[in-house]
Amino acid sequence: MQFHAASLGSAIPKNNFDATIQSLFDSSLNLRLEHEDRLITILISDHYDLPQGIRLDEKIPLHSLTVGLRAASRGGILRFDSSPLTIDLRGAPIWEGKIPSLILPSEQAWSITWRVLNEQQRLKNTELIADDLFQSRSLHPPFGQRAGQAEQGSLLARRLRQPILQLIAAAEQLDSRSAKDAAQNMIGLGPGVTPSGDDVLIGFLAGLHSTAGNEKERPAFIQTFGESLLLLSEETNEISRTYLYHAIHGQFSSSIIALLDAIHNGDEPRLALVSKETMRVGHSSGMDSVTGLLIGLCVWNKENSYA
Amino acid sequence: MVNKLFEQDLQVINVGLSSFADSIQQAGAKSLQLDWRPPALGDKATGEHLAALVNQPDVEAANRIAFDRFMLAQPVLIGVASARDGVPDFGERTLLHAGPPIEWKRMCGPMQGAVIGAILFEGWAENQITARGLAASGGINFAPCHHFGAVGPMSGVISPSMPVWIVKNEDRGNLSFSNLNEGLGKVLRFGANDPSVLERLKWMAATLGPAMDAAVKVLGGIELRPIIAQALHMGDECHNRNAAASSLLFKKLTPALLKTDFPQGDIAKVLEFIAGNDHFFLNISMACCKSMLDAGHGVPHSTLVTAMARNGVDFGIRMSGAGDAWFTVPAPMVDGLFFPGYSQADAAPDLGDSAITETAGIGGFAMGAAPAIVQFVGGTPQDAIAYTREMLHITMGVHSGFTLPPLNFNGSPAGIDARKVVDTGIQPVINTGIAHKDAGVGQVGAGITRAPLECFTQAVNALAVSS
Amino acid sequence: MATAQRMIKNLYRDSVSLMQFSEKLRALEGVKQASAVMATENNISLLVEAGLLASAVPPSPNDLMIVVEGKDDSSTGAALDQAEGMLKAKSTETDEGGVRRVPPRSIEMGLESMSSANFVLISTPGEYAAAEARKALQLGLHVMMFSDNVSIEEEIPLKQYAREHDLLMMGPDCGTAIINGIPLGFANLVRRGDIGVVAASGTGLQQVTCLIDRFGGGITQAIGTGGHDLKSEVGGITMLQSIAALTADPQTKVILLVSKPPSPDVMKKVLEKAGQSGKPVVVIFIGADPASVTHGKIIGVKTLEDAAVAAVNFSKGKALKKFSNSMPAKYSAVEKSSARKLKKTQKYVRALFSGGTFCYENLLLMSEALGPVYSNIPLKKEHKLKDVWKSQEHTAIDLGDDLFTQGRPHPMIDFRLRNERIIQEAKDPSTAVILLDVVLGYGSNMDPAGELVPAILEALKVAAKAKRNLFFVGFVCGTDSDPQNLTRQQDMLREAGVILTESNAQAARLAAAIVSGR
Repeated sequence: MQFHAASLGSAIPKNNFDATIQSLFDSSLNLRLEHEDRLITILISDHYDLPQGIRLDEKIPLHSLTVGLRAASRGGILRFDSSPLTIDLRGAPIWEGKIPSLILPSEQAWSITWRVLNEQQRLKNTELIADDLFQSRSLHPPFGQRAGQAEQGSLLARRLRQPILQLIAAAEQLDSRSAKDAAQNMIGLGPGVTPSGDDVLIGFLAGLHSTAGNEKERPAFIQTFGESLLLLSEETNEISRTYLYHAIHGQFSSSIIALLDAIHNGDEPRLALVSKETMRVGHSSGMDSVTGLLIGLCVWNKENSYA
Repeated sequence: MVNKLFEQDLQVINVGLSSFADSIQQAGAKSLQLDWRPPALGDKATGEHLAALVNQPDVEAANRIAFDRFMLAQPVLIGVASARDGVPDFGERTLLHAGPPIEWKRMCGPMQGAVIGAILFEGWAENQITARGLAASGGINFAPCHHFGAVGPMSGVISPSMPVWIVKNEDRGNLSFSNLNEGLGKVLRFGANDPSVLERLKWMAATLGPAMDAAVKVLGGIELRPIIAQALHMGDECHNRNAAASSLLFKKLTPALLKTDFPQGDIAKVLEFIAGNDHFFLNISMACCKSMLDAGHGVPHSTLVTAMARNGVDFGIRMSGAGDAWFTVPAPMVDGLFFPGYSQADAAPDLGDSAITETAGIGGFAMGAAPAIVQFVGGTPQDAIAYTREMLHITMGVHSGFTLPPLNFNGSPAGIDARKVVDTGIQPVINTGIAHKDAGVGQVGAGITRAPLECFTQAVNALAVSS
Repeated sequence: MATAQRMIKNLYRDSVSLMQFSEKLRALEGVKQASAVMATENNISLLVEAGLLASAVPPSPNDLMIVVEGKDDSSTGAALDQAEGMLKAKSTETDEGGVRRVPPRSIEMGLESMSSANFVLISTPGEYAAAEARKALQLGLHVMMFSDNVSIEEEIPLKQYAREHDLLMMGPDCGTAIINGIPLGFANLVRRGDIGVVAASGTGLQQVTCLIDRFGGGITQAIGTGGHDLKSEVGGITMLQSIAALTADPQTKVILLVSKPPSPDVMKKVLEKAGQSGKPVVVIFIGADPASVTHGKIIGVKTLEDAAVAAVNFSKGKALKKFSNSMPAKYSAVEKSSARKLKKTQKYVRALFSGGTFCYENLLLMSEALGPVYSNIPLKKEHKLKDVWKSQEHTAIDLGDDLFTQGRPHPMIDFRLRNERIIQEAKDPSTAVILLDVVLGYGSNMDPAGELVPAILEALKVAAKAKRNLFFVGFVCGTDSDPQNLTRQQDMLREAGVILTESNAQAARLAAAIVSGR
């Protein structure tokens, strides 16, 4: 049964490769590449791309596959052991997944997105509500201060608060060791197959990448921090580790990139729409990464008006 | 037919490697993958006996007859009498009990307690010790209720002086019996036998029984199927939930009772007694089911299951084509939820003739109509419907008289086919109360249990060998 | 209050259903608090902080940790059991209202879902297969039994019942069939046409049907009788029944029978029945003298390839050509050039088969040309391999034999054993030619060439290091419509240096010619 890939992420190997099915979900599956310690993802979606993704825009019978089954791509066709399922990768457009060039978010765009984020998190009753991370300390006016309120938020939020503050300070000061210490307390933390802590880090990296600009200390910080994150990522599961790997290399999902675009353009009506779309990914994954993204966007924007 | 096959679209049932089913679908034909496992837990000989019976013309014909007789039964409550007077051939020193045959020394705690209570009630012994002695001596004729056309819940002990409901199948004339329900708490059927229990039994024999008999006769008999059918539309399943049926019965009996010339005081006590017991109808429900199933029993080659019963030690079934044989295995523990303070460690194994309700297609088989029951045993209304649907796969048909509203008023699955149980591995589901393993404590929980597969494999083997 | 935890290894569920799962967990009777998270170090410390874990446990980030706090040990234990059950439960079909349905377990129950089913394909372990087949036949369904290890005593009553009720009982030990164009078991997607095939051999059926397709013909039906049908005790019940059916089938214009030679009494009955058909019948009893078969409209042939050629010729109304017993001229050049490159020590053919019938046909043809050929299924007792794991002189082995397949998938699916043997033969200085069959189709490995090529290249390297040329001869049994992409498979093999012929017979003759010509 032949299917055609609608697009390929830039991280999909160009030549023949071998893999094993690592996990199976309703509309996606992960393959562990034979000679590399990372996963690639086959996803069924008409618009969502990943750097490590093979996107199909029609439903395929995943029920004929099982975890542990071997797969191989030969001559551009991906096949699975004892399954007639084949995916033709040839001719599919490559999706790059790289962060758009330097963006300077306006205070307005940022605030709108932050507001939508918190609304959605409260609506969906997720464990992590972005506001809860910052109620006891004023960082920037957007965060505000709610004096006299007792520590609030879930146990998860309380656990993330201190490391996130440390992470922000470390990034401001370009202190990669401190950043690593902060990240150590966030890795693998929280519910979900991609734990919340990981998603926040990924969003944070997206924020950093997009505001690093040309001054060489910032990219250098990202590089060093990235190396230690790579080591730390051993402490979380394989699936989340792959997403971290790509984030470290400046590659993100199409929904993160779309959101960054929308924030950059400042087109407000569209912004609310795009943010909600991004936040819809996974159960809390999308929202957690937007949390990290918005925090990350603030770090090196001190010179900006609202700082 | 081979040449006909060449003209048809291929539609394949795939038994085994699922990749074959997938290939067939890829190639453009229909295939159905079975969730197959070796029948009878892998016992090859039973599997062969089973294969000999599937779609066998003799068996199919016999089952049609048995099922029709079962379906056409018209059980009518015609009166109440003492077991001695009402039950044919009821010998003098006879005690009936629930479940398949069992001797005194193997009986579980609650049943021994009930036996002692019955002995004291009859005056065959003076006290607990001499009663025990008598029971152990061989001086009592113990027999399953079923052997006398009767059924009793929990210990199900029936002695000569006890009043019994008399149910007559107007279609074929067979008679069925059950004792009257004592209520909840400290009662004989859970093994209690202190003076309060005996007092109550005496009152039931002297007053309650005769009053019921009089009321029933005023009515000219009570048709039982309509009551059960209506109760099923009101949230009962007539095994573990009988509140609606008991209320419907109360409505019928009250005016009738008032027309008799019983003293007002007695009538008041009787009505109070019945009103206070939501399970009063249970024993009648059981006798009704017994009546219907007895009608279908005794058809040679038929695989209709006509009884499922437990005595607290063994679980046994009977099958229409297998005569008087019992097919028994040790009774399973019930996996259920326990009342506060109790746990699995306190439980007696499954006990009672009340599984006759499931055998007839109500009780656990009608769980879809009694969602309230499911909460009690830890599930959801969807689970209840799923259980009922599951039973459709092992029954010969649905009950023409008992329909279930949540299932679009489809009939309740009825007529367990022993072959299908063995072939699919789907075991009949039973809603049941759990008794404390010590005599006299009472009910400690409730749950859903399954009839053991081995009873059905024994039955299939017996039939195949005798054919 | 009691807490309990359980680690579920390597079980991946998406985050949405993990959330739903956690909610269901919390709703269980007796559960006060519950959580299901990946067992990372940070999560473990979070659980300890939340009071759900008494103390930290070693982290294993790819596993799922379930923790519950309940009123006592038995409720937490019960909750964990239920949780594990929920995770492991296969998703069964639900209808509106989300009521779970029981998937069909027995054939009879299957009929409830698919009431117009007309066929049952059985591949259960052998001890249960006969009982399932009996039920299927009694329910009025045709049967194909892939399972083997079913006794003759069980087979005979099944076939007798089938005959009495005009039902097909294909098997036991029937691995291949094509009914109404649908491949069943290990089979190929073959063009429809007017040739009806009845075969007692799976790979024999595959070879003739694939060649018929390649030569431009097509089939009506390809019925498998199972490997024991033509034994005396069984009496050819299914083959006779099938010949009758194809006789009566208006779409079938040519009949083709494939088998090893049956016992004489059965052969007589079969040929009689074939003669009564009034249609041209091509018969390949592999190993029998064609002349002993040819009579009237019945044509006996020597090889599977000849059978396909003859059948297609009849189908197209062409004159029947005379069959040659030697290697086709088109291979002369490659035969000579290969023979020249062999060293003195390199004398032998090592033929490694996944199909038993291919091995058998090969033994017949190669022994005609070369003399004794050793095997695990030899033509003569004295040519049985002393050790099946080590070749002797000319060797042809059937890797599908029980000896090799104990505890392993069939060689048409799993190539490891064959690949190891290829390297082993390459190391042997007396090996000149390695011969391989490559079988495509449903049920077979999805990329046989991909599996073989690395071993072939490795073997060539090994030989080259010892300054030897090594030759691979093979053939691909498949059609353009098979899932494996025939052209690509052939290209890959040729690129690796394999000399591809069109059939098993040609491969055998070419290999024999190469070693003879040195």
